[in-house]
Amino acid sequence: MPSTGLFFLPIAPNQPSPSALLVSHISRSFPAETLPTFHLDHRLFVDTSSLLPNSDTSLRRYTSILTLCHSPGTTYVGTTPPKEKPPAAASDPPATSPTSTLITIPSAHADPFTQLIGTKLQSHWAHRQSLVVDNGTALALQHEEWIVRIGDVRTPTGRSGQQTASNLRGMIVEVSFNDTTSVRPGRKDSADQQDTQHSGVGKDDETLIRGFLDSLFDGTGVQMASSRALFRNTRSTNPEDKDRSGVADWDLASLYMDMLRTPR
Amino acid sequence: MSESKTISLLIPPEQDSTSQDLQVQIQKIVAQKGHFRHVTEQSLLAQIRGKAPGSKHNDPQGDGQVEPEEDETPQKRQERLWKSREEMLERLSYAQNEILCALDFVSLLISKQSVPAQHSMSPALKDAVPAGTLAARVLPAKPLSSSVQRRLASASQGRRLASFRSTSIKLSTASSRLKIDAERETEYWAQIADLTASGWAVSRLPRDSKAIGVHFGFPESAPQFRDRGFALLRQADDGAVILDKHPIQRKRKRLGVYVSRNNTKTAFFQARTSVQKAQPQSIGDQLTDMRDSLFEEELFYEVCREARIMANQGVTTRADSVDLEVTGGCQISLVFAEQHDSDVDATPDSDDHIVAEFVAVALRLLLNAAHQQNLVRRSQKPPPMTLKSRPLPEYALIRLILTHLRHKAEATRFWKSCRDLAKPFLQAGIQVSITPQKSTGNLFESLSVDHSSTLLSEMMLPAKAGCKVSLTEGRTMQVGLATFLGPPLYGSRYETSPVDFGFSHMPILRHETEGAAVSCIRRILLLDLVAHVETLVKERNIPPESEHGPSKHWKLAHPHDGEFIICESDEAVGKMKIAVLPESISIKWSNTGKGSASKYLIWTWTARGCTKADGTAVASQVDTDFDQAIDQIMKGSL
Amino acid sequence: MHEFALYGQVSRDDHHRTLQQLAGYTRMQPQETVEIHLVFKPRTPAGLDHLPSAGGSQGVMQQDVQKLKTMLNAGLFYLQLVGEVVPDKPKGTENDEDVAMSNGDGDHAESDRSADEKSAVRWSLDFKDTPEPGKQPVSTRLVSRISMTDGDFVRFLDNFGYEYVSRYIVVGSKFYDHDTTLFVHKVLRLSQISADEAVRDTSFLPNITELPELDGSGGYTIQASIDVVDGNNPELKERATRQLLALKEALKQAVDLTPGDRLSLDTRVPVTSTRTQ
Repeated sequence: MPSTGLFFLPIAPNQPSPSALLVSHISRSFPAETLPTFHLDHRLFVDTSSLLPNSDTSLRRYTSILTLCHSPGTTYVGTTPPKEKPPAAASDPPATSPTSTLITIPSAHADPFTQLIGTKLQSHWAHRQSLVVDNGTALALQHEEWIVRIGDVRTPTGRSGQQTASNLRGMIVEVSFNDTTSVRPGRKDSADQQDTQHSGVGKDDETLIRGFLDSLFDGTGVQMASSRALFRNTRSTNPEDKDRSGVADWDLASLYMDMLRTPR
Repeated sequence: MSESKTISLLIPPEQDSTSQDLQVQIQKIVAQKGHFRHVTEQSLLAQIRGKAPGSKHNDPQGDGQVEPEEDETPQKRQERLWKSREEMLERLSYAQNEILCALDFVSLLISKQSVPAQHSMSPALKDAVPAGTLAARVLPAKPLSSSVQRRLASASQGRRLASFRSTSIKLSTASSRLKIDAERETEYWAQIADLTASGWAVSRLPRDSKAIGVHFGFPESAPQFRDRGFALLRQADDGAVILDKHPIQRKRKRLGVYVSRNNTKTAFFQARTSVQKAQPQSIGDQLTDMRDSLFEEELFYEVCREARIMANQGVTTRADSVDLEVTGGCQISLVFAEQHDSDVDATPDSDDHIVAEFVAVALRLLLNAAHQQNLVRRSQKPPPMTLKSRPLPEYALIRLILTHLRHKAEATRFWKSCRDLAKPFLQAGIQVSITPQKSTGNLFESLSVDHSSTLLSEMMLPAKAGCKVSLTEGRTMQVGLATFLGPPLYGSRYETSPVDFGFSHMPILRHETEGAAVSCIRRILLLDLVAHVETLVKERNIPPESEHGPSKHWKLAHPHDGEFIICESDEAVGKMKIAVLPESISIKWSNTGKGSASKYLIWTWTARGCTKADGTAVASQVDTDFDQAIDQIMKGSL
Repeated sequence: MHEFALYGQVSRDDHHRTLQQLAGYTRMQPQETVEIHLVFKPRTPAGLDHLPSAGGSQGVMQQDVQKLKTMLNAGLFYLQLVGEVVPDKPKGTENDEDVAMSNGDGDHAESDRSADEKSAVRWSLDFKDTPEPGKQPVSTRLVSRISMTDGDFVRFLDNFGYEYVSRYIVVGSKFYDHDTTLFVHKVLRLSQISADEAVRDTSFLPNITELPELDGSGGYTIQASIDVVDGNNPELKERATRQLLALKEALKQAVDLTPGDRLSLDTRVPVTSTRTQ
C-alpha cells in the first residue's frame, strides 16, 4: 500500500515550467530509472444550474472524466454528491471536499461520453475545463521504492498541437512511496469503502514524502512551498502489474480529481 | 401450425368459364343443345320435367353467374345489366335486319306469282330490282345409284378409320412420351435425393424457381470462392443429373509441398488425388473433385495473400509457387500446378517427408480453422459502420507453419548447444544438468496472443519450449524459448528465470538470439561454479587460519570473471581463475607472489576428459574431478 | 454514433418460422440475447426555478445567462443502464427453440438448457435520442453506448442527476448480416425492487421462461439496425439506408419492416408545467 503525495505548482502566465530542469537534475543526481511517459487527461464539468449568477457556488457539484497512464485502457468518471448544508467554514477546502463516486469506463468511450454530456445532457452538466499532461516524465528511484512523476499541466492545444506558454497552467508532481517494509492493515479497494478516505497517510508519511521531494529538488531553486498538496494511500502502482490493464486504482483517481478540480 | 395462416381465403375468379359475352354463351348453348331451330316447345317442356341430361350443364353456368353477383356492389351490377341490355338490343336489331333481308328475298322470289308479295318487298329492293324477275322451280330429288352410295359410304368409312388410326398413334406416342418423362423425372429426383442423402446441400435458386443447384463450396470462404461453390443441376436426356458445363471446364490444379535442402529437393507431398478416369464419373465424384479443386485454389490464393505481408520474413511469392525459407539451407516450396514432379532425392534417414506431409496437412486444416473463425467473427456484433471498408484479414496459415518449423530448428540448435555446455561439467563431476521440460513455467507470462477457441487454437499460440538447468546446491533456473512470427516477438526469443547467487542476482533476462541465450547460460554456469568454489573455499579457509595466524586465505575477487585471489597479509600472492568456455571448463592458477618464480597450473575439462597443464608439462588426468582439482590447488598454495 | 433502424412485428405463431428464415438468410445460428434494462429518469435541474426573468431589474439579460437558459432548457432524456447477460458457455442461455437450418450441416438442436449458474452481466449506459423528424425511409437516431466496467453505477447515476425508475428484461435472438443486426425480441416484466438490488439481482435468469410478458399475445418485435459512426455523413447514411432497404426487400415475404413511429420511440421526459407556476 503506497502513500502518494500530489503537488500542484501553479505557474504564472508566460513563465516557463521548471519541469525540464527538475527532470534533468534528478536524472543527473540520482540513479533513476525511466518509466513509460506520464500522461493524463482530465475533463471537468459542473452542474449547469450552479453557473447561474444568483446560485450558491459553494453547493456546486462536479463531474470529472479522468484518464491516467497508471491504469491504461481505463478511464475514471467521478461525480461529487450534492451538498445538503452549506459548509461550516472555508478553513481547509481539500479536507472537506466531497468524496466523488467513481466508476470506470473503457478509455475508448471517454470521448463519446464527453460528447454525450456536452450535447444531450447539457441541461445538467456544463463543460468547465480540460487539462492534460501530455509528455510527462516518470522516474523510479531506489528499486521502485519511490516513483516520481513530473508533468506540465496544460489546457488542450486543439488540433494545431503547438505548445505555447499561454496554455500552461502549472506543474504537477506525484510522489509515490511504495513502502515494502511496513505492513499496514489492508484496505478494500471497493468504491463502497471510500468514506474512509484520507485515513492511512499519517503525519509521518506526509513528512517523509515532503522531505524526499525537498531532497530531490535540493539545489534547483524550485520551491514547492507555494504548491498545493494532497496525500492519500493508493493502490500499488508497481510496474509489474501494469499489463493487467484495467485494474482500477480508485484512491489515486480520487486524488487526481480532487487536485485538478481546482487548479488555481 | 402456421399453414392455416398462409392459405388465402380469396378464390381467384375464373374468368374463362363464365364469360359474359353473349355470343360465346349462345355458341355454348348451340354446342350443348343443338341449334335453336331444333328447340321446340315439347323438348323444352320435356327438359323441365327433368328427363333431359342437358339440365346438368345448365347448373354450373347458373352458379357461376350467381356467385360473382353476390360479391358485386349494386352499382357494378347495374352497370353490368345496362351493358347486357345494350348488347341484347344490338343483337336484336341485327336479327331484325336478317329477318327483313330474308323477307325481301322470299318476297322477290314469289313476286311473280303473288301480288301481295310485291308489297312486302322493301322500297330499296323495289328500286333496285323489278318485281317478278326471280323465279323458283322445284326440282325432283334424283336418287343416287347404289354403287355411288357404296363408294361414298366406304370413302367416309375409310376416312373415319384413317383418322382413328392417326389419333391412336398420337395417343400412344403421347403415352410413351409421358412414360419416358416420368422415368426421367423419377431418375432425376432420385439422383438429387441421393445427392442430398450423401450430404450435399441442394437448393432452388431464389431468382429462378425452376433451377436447382448444389452447394459444394465452403460457406465461410472469402466471397469470391463462396459464390463459386455452387453449380446448377441440369437434366440430361436420359434423366440423369448433370452439372452445368461451365464449372467443370476448369483445370484441376493442386498444391504440392516440396522440401529442399541446399537447393536439392528432398521430399514431396501432395494431398491424395483422385485418379482421372476415362469413363464419366458419378455426380458425387465430380462434386468432390470440384470442391477439392476449389479448396486448393482458395488455399493457394490465401497463402499468396499471406505471403505478400510476409515478404520480409523469408517468404518469396512467384506466379505459381510460394517459397518459405525455414532456416539456412532448408526451404519449403508450395507449388500450385496440375502435374507435380514427384522425383526427389530422398535421403533415407531424414524426416523431410514427414515435414512435407505436416505442412500439406496443416495448411489445409488451418484453412478450415480460418473458415471457422470467420463464422465466429460473423456471429458477433458488427462494429459501427465507418467510411473505411473492413478488409478481410489475412488468414494465419504459413505464419503458423513457419513458426513451428523455425521453432523446431531453433530448439534443436539450442538444445545441442546446451548439451555441449553440460558435457564438460559431467566430466568434471559437478552436479549440473540441463533437461528439457514440457512447460515453460512462469516464463513468457506477458506473452498473450488473443485467439478464438477454434479447433486448432493450440497451434495459433506461440510455440514454446523450455529446459530446466539444475545448478549446484539445489539452485535451478529455467530457460524458455518462444517463437512467434507476429507481434510482439517477430521470431524466436529466449527468457531465463531469475537466479540468486548471493554475490550476484540475475533477474529475468530476455535474449534475442540463440547465441546470446547460450552465452547467458554459460555466464550463469560460471557464476554457479564461482559460488560452488566459494563454498569450498569457505570450508577450507578455516583450519589454516588457526595454524598460521594471520596467514594466507582465499577470497573471491571478481565473481563475474571467476577470479579468486589468495592473500597473505592482505597482499595477493596467487590467483585462480575459473572459466566456462563453449565446450570446456578450466581453472587457471598462477602465483603472482613476489620472490618465487611465477608458476601456472591449468586444469581443463572437456567432454572427453581432463588435462592438467603444469608449467609446460601437459598431462591427461582422466579421473580428477573439479572438486579434487580445487583441493589440490588449495593445498599447494596454502 | 447513429442508429439506422427498421422495425417489424412477428406474431407468436410466426416466431419460429421467422427465426428459421433469418437463420437461413444470415447463414448463422441465432445468438441468444438477454438484456436487463434499468430505466433512469433525470431530475429537473434546480436552476430552472432560479432563472432570472427577462423583464427583471437587470433589464436585458446578459449573454451568458441567455446561454445558460438555453442549456437548461435543452431537454431531458431518460437514460438506461443495460446489462447484457454473458452466457457462461458459448451456448449457455439457449432457449428451447432450435432453429437449425433445414438443409445444412449445422442442424444440432440446442435444447439442453444448462443450469444457468451465476451469470456475468456486462453493463453499459445507453442513451437513445428521439428519432429524427421528417418522412424518411428508415428511422435514424443518435445513440450512445458507454460501457461501464466497475464501480457503484447506481450511486454514480444518482449523483449524476438520474434516479432509478423501473426495470424490465428483453430476451430474444440476434442475427448479423454484414453491418446489420437483426434482433427478434420481446419484453418481459420484472418485479420492481430498489436500484441497488436491481444492479446485482440475477436470480430470475435461470427460469426466464416463467416471467410474465409485457405483450400478452406473445408477439415479438423485430428490429433491423445498423450502427454508424457518423450518421450525418451523407455517404454513410446512404450506405446504411441502402443496406436496410435491401434487407427489407429480401425479407418482404417473411416480415414487413417499416420505420418506427417517432413518437413512440421518444426518450424525452415530458415537460412539466411546475416551473412555470
